[in-house]
Amino acid sequence: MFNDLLAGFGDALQPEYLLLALLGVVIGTLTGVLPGIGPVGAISMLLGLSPAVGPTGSLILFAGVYYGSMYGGSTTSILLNIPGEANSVVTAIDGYEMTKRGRAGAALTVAALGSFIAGTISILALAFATPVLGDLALKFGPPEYFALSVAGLLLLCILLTGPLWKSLAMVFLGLMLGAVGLDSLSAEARFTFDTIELSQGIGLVPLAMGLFGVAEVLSVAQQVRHGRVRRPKAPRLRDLLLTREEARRSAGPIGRGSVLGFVMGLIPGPATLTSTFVSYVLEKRLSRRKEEFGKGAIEGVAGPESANNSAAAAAFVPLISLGIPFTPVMALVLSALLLNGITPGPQFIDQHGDLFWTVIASMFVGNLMLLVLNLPMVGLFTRVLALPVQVLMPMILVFVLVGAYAANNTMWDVTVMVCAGLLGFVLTKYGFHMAPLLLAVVLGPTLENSLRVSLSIANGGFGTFVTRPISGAILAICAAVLVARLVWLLSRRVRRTAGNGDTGSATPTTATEPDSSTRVLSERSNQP
Amino acid sequence: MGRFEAAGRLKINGEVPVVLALFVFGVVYVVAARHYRAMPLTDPGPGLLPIVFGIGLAASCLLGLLRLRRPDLATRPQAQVDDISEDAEVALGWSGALRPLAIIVVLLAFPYVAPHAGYLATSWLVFVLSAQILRRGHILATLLTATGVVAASYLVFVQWLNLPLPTGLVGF
Amino acid sequence: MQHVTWRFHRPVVACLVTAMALATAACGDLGASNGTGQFPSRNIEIVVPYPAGGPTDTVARALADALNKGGKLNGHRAQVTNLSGAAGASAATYVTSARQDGHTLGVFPNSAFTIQSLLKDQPYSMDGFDFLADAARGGLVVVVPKQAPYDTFQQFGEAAKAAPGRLTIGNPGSANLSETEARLVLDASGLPARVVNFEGTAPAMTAMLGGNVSAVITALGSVTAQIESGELKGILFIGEAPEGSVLADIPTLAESGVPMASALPESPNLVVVRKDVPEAAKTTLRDLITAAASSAEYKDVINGMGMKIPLTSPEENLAMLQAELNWYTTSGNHLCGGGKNAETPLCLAWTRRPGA
Repeated sequence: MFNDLLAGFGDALQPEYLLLALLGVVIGTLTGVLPGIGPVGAISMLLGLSPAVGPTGSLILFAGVYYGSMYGGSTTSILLNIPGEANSVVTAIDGYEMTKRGRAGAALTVAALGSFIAGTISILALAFATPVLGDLALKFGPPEYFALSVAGLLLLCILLTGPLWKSLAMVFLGLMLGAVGLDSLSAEARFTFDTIELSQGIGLVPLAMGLFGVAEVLSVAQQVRHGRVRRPKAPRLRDLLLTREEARRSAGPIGRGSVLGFVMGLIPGPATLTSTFVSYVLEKRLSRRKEEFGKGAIEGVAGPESANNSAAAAAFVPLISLGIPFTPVMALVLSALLLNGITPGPQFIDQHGDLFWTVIASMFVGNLMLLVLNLPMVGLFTRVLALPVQVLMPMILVFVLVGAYAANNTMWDVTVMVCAGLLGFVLTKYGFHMAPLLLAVVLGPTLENSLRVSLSIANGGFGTFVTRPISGAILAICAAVLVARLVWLLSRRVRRTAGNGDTGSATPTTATEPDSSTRVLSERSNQP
Repeated sequence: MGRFEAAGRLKINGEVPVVLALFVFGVVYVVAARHYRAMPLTDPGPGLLPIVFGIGLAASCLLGLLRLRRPDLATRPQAQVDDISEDAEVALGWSGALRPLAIIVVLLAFPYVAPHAGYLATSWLVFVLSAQILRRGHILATLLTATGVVAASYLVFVQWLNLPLPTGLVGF
Repeated sequence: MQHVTWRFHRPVVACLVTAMALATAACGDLGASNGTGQFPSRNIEIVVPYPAGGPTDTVARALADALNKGGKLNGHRAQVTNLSGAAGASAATYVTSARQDGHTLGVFPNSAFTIQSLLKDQPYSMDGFDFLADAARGGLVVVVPKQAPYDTFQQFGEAAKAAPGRLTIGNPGSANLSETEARLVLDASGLPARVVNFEGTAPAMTAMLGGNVSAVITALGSVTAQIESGELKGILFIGEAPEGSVLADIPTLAESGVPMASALPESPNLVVVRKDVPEAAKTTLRDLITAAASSAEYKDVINGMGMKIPLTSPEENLAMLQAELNWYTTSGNHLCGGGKNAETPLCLAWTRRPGA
């Protein structure tokens, strides 16, 4: 096997493949950084090149784009509170808080380092564990997807600070918005008022850019009235590096995030995304500085960023071992292989071993390129924060407008983005979190489809969710967490009445976090 | 519940209409969702989950309204009082909402103007207008930066990524 | 001061971006050549009503690639655009509202013009299109995992009768050919198995491999490789399998003893253009497509997916769609399962059939 890998390196280091890997990671980083256009858009555009560059070249190019966009996606989350894609939503929580504290450089550096380490670990796992791990995905049927989606949404609600009802309201609002459009099981139109635009549903990309990006601009516009805008300053050069303390605190989260991301990435559907906030919850739980989470804890950036890169590599496993693409990006990779006359399946590694090992080797190379490219860029990116308000904010507007349009070539998406911006602005003002709303929009279709398919398979019985071991276990954990939270709320109320309303700041004794200490995805920029 | 009674109250004052609006939206959504087939459970239709979602939103909002009605539960713990007083001046008033609203109007015009005027001219206008809304003055500097940013966006989006952006009547 | 540092960096970014632009241009501009002739006079756009990556998209991309390599496009190129959304309505309206010079084509499955327009008033109709060619056509296949205890559809039927209502057939989406055929086959053979709709081929296959549904009925392109590798067993083939492939060994409806009077046609991928394009342009397009579809590379891709290249005439294609529409008036009542499935989209389509 190591000989195969070495031979793979021999091939991957050919100038042609090196150039393709470089092209891939640069395009990927750029599409990750630019709002709107994600890896799917970029790879769709490059798919036309696929027959010209051959199967190996296509895989190298597309893998580079995919990795690169995972790297780049965190940049706007950290600097501007605009997650370019769903996988960076969790990064924005503590990443943007770090930026406000002048630690933007450290956040970007740890994101790049975490991505690199996670990428390397997961490529190793991809290389040597693909035949063994491919079947894991099959353990998960529709009831498990349902349980995972519910768990994901519930965990996020509980880990966020603020009243639980507000987070739940946002989850339901997101699920409702996600249901607009054609129902993917019956092809029936819902809440579309007979318009073509609405029947395509409410796009995730314009929604995310509106709820976070446009809302942030509006929030700044509102503060301008007072003559002083509290916004983050660009860090000085020597602040770009990680401190020894920060490096020490990041090591654990990166390692755990890598493993967690890879394992969860093997499971199709919501798991890739869920892995980022499972990692966040895990780090918060393990940390001795729980109170720092939501206020710029470096663990909250390191863990999720490693997890999403690791999950990106794991997504290749089911494609290679089963021939089934679980994500839109993998569907494109499959298409590129088909166009070159190769159909992946259980025999892929046996039949196309040289291709497989060359691609694996080139993933290592691409990953290294990303690190080398991205670390020096940290300084450059943080310079963005030095721009004056009247330059930076209009610039963001121009780029999100074009990005929203370009994602699907429709002005409808621009309108959606602006409306989402207004909605996000008003709701954040009143202490509602946007993360659960956005994640509910993402997970909504999975949750709904898996519930309906499960019921259909079980001939109408709800018992299937409880009797199947995996879904039963996941749902039991959810119930336990919810009960713990309720118990804590009740005990707080009892203490409050007993102690005459002065115990709101009592130290947490139960498993859940008090809803008072911090505010996540801040509703205003509070300059330290 | 006077509008300027106390910093902490200010926030709560605006909160009730927002939560009420969400509640009404939930109810309307459920009514609309009843037009779609929901049953039987052996083959659940497209209406089942939307009804559940709508009820969920309405119920969460109702819970929230009840808690906001009871000041002992609504008052935030000590840790947040600072935040709120700091926020008081920022809490939505009409004068504070003017700038965000102006920006929204500019952005909403984009889908209508861009197909005719082309994306270059329109985004240049968006830049100039929003910069002026944010901070008046430095007209010349704004015009120049707008030109620079739009040119950069043209380079990235059109020249390099080859995106089919609206060209308008002029041809670019 | 901070302003100055930013200005200092901008040229660096600009240089970087320009370098990348040149690099992509160099890579992207392959195979351009000069020629003379009237058509095409600009790039040809092929619209696909699905996101990139599915079987129809692969067909369209293989066709675009073959057109480009054919070198008869006067130095222009054929490009694929994915306009998913509204179950094909967005792409269809895009094609009908494109310029009339014939440079905007579409590759559509038959269902866009038949069942979809029966289900719902669409902003387009069959009359607005010319169906230039059928670029690839494949049958449907019922597959089971390799460790499943049945090798033929008869054995599947016996197992279904032994445990009524326990066996399930998954299909990749409601109101398409797969679900229609699944319900028809079950109705014709009187099997007490159930049909479960999924939101795509991948989820249905995963559910089957994980043991959540017993079998899956789907279009050929997506499972050919797994059948060839032996990972899946084909137990029923609906349509005509290409000669000489392993697919030809799968029992057909007649061989399995399923008495189906009028089956629907196989699943075609129709190349369409708006109706009022000049005849000359349509003729040239047909010639270009025929030449491209005869190329070895195109055949490799399509046959590799287990599909055939029928290249029927526009008249035949239109007649095929008409026949499918007429079919609903005669045999569609089977879809309602004696009123049991009265509210499923398929039954609704039947009750709204032409002339009902």
